[in-house]
Amino acid sequence: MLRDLPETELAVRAHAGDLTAFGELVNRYSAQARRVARSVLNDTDDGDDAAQDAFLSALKNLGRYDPSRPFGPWLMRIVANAAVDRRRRKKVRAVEALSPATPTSRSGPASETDRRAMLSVLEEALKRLPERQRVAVVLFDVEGYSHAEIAEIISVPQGTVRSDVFHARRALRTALKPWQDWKEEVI
Amino acid sequence: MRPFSPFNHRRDRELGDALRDALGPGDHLAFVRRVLASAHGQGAALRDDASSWDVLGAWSAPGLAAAIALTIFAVIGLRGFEPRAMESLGAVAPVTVVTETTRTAPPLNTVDGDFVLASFFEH
Repeated sequence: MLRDLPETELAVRAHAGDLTAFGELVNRYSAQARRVARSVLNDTDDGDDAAQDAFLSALKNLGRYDPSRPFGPWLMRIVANAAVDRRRRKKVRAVEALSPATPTSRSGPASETDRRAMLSVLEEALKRLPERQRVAVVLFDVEGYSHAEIAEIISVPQGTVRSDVFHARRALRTALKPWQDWKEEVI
Repeated sequence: MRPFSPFNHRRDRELGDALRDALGPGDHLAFVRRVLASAHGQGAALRDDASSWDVLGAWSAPGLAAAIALTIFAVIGLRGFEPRAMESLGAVAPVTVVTETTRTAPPLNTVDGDFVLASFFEH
């Protein structure tokens, strides 16, 4: 079964022309690739387009993949580059300022609504971050890559990655603070 | 959310989970299908290193077929030719052209003496 095969084996098969093996790789990495692309582009549709470009580019360049190394960072580097290329081409519009609407003064909305509100605040805060910080925090805290792997993916020193993750976390946590305080008051 | 120091070198799982939801990718299967359809559409042209191996691969099938056919013909040909060839070799007598030179000159090697003598007397 393809599902049981390691990524390196799938990559080798895909390189030999096995599109079902490539499909399994897409299946495993599409969510991650789309999140990373979206974190670069700040746009769902553009992010998906960039993720698709990245998968096709990866298929084209599988001969350059070193099977002795993990597949994820190699692919994420392609995803990040595809997203940056797409942003350059489209000259993505300036990010709109975050609306300061936080639920601090609201009374007792349902928990799903709470969560949606929190996610909306978080999404806007993420959009306000510099691109590199967005990608670094998503790769580290969402996707679980190490600082070293992220440094390789976005081609910056490890110290820069640590700094970017720190600043991004602080900004995101600060943006979520009013929401968090409000939750504590309600609870 | 619980407090988490931005200095912490480990993953901030709570923030990570919230970010994952915020960046929620939506319809997973539709995206996979879309990428695969695009890959199928572009086919082998996507693979830039297809040049040498694909050319060799394309050549290998007719090349192998031709090599097998040649081998078969060679084997059949040799087997069919071998007995007759041995027979004909056995039937062939040594041919000696008798000329003025050969009449006078001594034989250089083993020539049938009766045959030479008979030719001499015929003339």
